[in-house]
Amino acid sequence: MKFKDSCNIFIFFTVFLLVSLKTALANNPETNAYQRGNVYYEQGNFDEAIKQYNSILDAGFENGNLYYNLGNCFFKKGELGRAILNYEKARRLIPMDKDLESNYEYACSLIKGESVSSKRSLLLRVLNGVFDKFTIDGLTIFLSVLYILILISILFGIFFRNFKKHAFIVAIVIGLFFVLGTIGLKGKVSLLNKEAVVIAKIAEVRFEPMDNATTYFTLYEGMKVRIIASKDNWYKVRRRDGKSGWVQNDSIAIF
Amino acid sequence: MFEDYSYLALYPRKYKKIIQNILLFCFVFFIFSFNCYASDIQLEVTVDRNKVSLGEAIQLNVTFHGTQNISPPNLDKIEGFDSRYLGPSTMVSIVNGVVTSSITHVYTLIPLKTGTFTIGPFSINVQGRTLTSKPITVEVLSTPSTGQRPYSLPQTQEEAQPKKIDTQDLSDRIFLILSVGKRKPYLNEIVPLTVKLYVNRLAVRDIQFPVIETNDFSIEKFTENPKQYREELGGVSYDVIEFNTDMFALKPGEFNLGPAKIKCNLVVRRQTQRRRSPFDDDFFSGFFNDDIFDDFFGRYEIYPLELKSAELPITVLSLPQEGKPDGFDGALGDFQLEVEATPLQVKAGDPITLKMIVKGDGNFDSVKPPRLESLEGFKVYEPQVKQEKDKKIFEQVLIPESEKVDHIPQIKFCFFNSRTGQYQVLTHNPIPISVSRIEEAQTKLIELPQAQVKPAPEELGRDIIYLKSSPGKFKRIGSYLYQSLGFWLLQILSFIVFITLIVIRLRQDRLINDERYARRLKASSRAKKAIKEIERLLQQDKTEAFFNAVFKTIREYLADRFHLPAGGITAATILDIAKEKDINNEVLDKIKNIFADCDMARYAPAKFNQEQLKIIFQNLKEVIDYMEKQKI
Repeated sequence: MKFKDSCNIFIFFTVFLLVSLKTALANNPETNAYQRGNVYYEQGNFDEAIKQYNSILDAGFENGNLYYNLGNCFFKKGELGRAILNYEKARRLIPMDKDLESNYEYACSLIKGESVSSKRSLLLRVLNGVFDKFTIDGLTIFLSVLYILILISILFGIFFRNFKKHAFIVAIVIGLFFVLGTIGLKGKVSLLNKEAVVIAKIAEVRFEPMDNATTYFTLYEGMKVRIIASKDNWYKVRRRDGKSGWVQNDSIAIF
Repeated sequence: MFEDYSYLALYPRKYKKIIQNILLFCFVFFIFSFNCYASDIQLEVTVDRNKVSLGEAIQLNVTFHGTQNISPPNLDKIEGFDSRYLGPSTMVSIVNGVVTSSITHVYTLIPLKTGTFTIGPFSINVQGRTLTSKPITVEVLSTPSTGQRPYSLPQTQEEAQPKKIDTQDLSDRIFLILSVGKRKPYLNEIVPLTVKLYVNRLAVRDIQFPVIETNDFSIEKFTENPKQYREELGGVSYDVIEFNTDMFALKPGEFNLGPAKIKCNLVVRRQTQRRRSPFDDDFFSGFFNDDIFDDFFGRYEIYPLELKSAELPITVLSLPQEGKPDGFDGALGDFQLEVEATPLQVKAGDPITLKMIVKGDGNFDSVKPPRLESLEGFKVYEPQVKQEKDKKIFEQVLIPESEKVDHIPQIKFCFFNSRTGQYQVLTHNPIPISVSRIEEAQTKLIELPQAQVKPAPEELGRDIIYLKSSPGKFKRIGSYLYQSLGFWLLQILSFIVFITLIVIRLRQDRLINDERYARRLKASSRAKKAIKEIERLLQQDKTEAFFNAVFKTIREYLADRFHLPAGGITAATILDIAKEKDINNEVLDKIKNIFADCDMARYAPAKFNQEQLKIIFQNLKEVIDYMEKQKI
């Protein structure tokens, strides 16, 4: 067999495999469930749409678009808390999506009660805003690129002695970003399953994890809190303004 | 609501709701029947058609409105007909909280001879009061009348394609009447236009809005909710659907309006073997003409029908020239004028909004803005026009140019009153205003072109953005890149590459800067090459060349190893170095022997046989190996 024929056969099988793989991906059960969910949504059957979308989650898969659509379904059903919960989950996966940003802001604008301002410093808030634009994987890749850039800068300084000084300055600057990014990544990872959204219309936050304890403050549907401890059926949560207390676990949903 | 007991008995579950409604109506009837008095009771006598042939029957309905508590009246003998009582039918309706009830006693009249007969008038005594009906004329023909089965029904069920029905045959059971509010309107005068669809004992559906093709009149769209009611015409009761709109003529002259056309579908029953009951006629099918019956029985067929009304001659009058006032812009109708101006105290250059409202009846399309008597002293902008159902609003911005202006001039509006047939002029007296002086700079600011006036901020709606149609790429829940082994291997690999490159670079630097190191590294490789060459010479038995190569190799190797000039290497120098470097005596002896053998070979090369050469070669290799291993 000639070399040219071998090449042709190889190309044919490669194309065949790629097409088969694409077809398989296009017709997989998750995609089908997603499309069915969309159809039910268009028909106004939000319960059935949610059911279809949840079947994908039950199968162990997720993505930003899925959480976005789920958020829309809950919003249309009037369940603001669950809508915001899903938008929050979507923000972890597609934080730069404009549609998501718009829907999230609109949903948050409907939260009852007075808005609570953060007590963090301006620098922390700015950094938080920057890191919010990254996914965990995105930040990981970003750090990996920074790491390789640091190595390249050092090599550049070693191989080209005329630029040694400049190269090392660049390496140090990139290194600072790398350290900052690493702190950001650690922070993001540490928030996994430590944040929650209020899904009950009203949740009383008490001083102690007891039904008859004094109410410290009230959380309204859609508000976001940080989980700092748990005990039996209670979670200790902290609000953006730093106030913390105990809330019943069925009032919030962790993400 | 008619109580069709035959259907209810057949399908009690399906019509549970209907039964409930009937019971509810019966209850209402029971409650309200006590409130009926004879003074409220009215009598109506109708027939289902007024043309019948011998051998066929017509239906006579004697209806008492306002009560349901009247037993069937004893009708006198009707000339030319044999009458038979079929039974009562009751109806209760609640419209806007007003309850009305009626009972209809249904009779069958069978003609006994041909001719034209008058049925009634009937006088019936109800609760001490005599009620009298109108007489009805019925023509009895010898041939089958068009009214009985005027349309050609398909005789077999195989004829599935709907046929077009000749509307002439149905002309007395379904027809259109086109009418206008005024047969001699003025040009541009708004005139109400009505199209009535009369239906008698036919099931009609999919009725479309009337279409009137004309180039002489402007006809508004028909209102979306046509009126529906019953009307008696020539003793025959019709279901009427009334479509209303307005129109006006576009040019003066004599024209024919119409015909109005309406498309609809006629639902007719197939010929079946089912036995006819007294209620099983077109009268009831007209009210039970839902698709559900088609599904149940498959007995109904639909025939498309296009109905046409008669044309309507209309004379359009042009507006008289006599008495036509100056400033008449063609407005036609009966109008009133309201004017208001705000604010009345301004600085020169400040805008005043003049709101002029023309309201009343008429053709508002013909209404132009009322005229100001004089525009002197004002800067005037084009008015903004807003038209509503019964009024037209003109908002005009006037800017007094100086403080000398003290009033808004008189406003005049002329129109032709189509009711009186005369021109009318409405005037509004001058409106006093107070204008004060302003700074010049401010004046310039105000006199910006209208286009630069900042519009009111637009109010935008707000809602969530629609779904994402594409699913995108799914990933395992909770799996992140930083957890994958491949990611970390890649990082480690890149670090290894980095270290390797650095080592290479440092080695290159040392080779350049450290001659001793460079010679030492070079010595090994050169010695390896030389040993191969010596081996080749040994095999070729070239003794002289062999010894030259051995001598050169040992001398250069040791010179490179100990960073000495090659020419300065002798057995004596080697002994000195050996003491410093602590070289093994055995090796040292081998070196000395190699140098001695090489010296001897220069003078007597034939003295060495092949075996001795091999020993020398082996010694040379051992010396170099020793040096390499000992890192001396």
